[in-house]
Amino acid sequence: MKFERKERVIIVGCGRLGGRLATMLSDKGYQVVIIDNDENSFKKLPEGFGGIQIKADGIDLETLKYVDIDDAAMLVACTGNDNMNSLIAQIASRIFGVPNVYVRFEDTDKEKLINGFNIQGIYPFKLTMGIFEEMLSNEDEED
Amino acid sequence: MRIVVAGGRTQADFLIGDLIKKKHRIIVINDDPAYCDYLSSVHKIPVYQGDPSKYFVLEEAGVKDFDVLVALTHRDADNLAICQYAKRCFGVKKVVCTVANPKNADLFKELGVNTVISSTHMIAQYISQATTVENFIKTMSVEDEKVIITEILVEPQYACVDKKLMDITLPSNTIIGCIIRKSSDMIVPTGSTEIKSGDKLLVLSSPENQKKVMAAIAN
Repeated sequence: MKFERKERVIIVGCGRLGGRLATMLSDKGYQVVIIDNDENSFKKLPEGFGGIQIKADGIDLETLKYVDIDDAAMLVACTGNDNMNSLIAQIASRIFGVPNVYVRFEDTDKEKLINGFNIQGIYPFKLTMGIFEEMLSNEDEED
Repeated sequence: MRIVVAGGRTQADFLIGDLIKKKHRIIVINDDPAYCDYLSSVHKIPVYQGDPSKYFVLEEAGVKDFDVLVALTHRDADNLAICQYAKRCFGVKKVVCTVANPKNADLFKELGVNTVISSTHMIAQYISQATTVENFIKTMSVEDEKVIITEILVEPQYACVDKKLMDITLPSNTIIGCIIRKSSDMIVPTGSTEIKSGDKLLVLSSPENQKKVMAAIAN
């Protein structure tokens, strides 16, 4: 990875992906801040989690300023809502200039909202389809 | 003009009625099937049922090259997505939305929405104006608060009473645009117009100058 250790990473949304990612990055030595508006979602984090948990609204500008978004090295927007993820990613990249911004979208059309910005989209749909496409192309080769 | 009204309930209903009266061509998109039925039966216009923050819904509704899109859903993030799709993908000329969180007003403008309406912000602004200076009967801002129109009722003890306009020193960028007088409806004043007690003055100025305007007229 291109980030230096000890750099700060903000993860918005502590679902399965956000929670695991936060744990992994924290174990690797990054300073992790994870934001979710539901206290219960932090139960997904392991007991010795070394990052900071913040119960707040991740699309609120004040929350993001509070966690010093302007000097974060990376932000990952992975709440359960595509439009919120799009907004959070755009705040991070377009307003605060966070250098590495990742956003998860269920709906692949949401790519059109971030095209041309310094934001990297992650699409579970495309990843899944990729597996099947690969499987089918392997079958073709065997025929 | 061709206008898309996306989402919303009572505000959408009211806005649609108003726009139809003004002979605009309207398309309505709403994700609530029951409300769609209601809107189409009341207003006799096509209503598309679907989530307007989805690309294919906007595409099917045919919003391409419309003049204006208004996004009125109760979620700020949805409104931004609707406006950004409309502008970036469908060439809609002007996009307008409401926000629940007043802090999002400036943010959304920065992210490309032409006009952002925050009712909380407007109410707060109105209340603070109403309470600071009681003589200002009404204040209205236009052009994103760059210009304000202040309505001032002239009390008998005011310094400006029976003075000609040319003899009153007003702050820069300020003009008394209109005088409303009981005896003669309304007057567009010239330099030689005299201000009378009981007149209502409509003053155009910058918001910073509002207090100075009051001082110039009262003292």
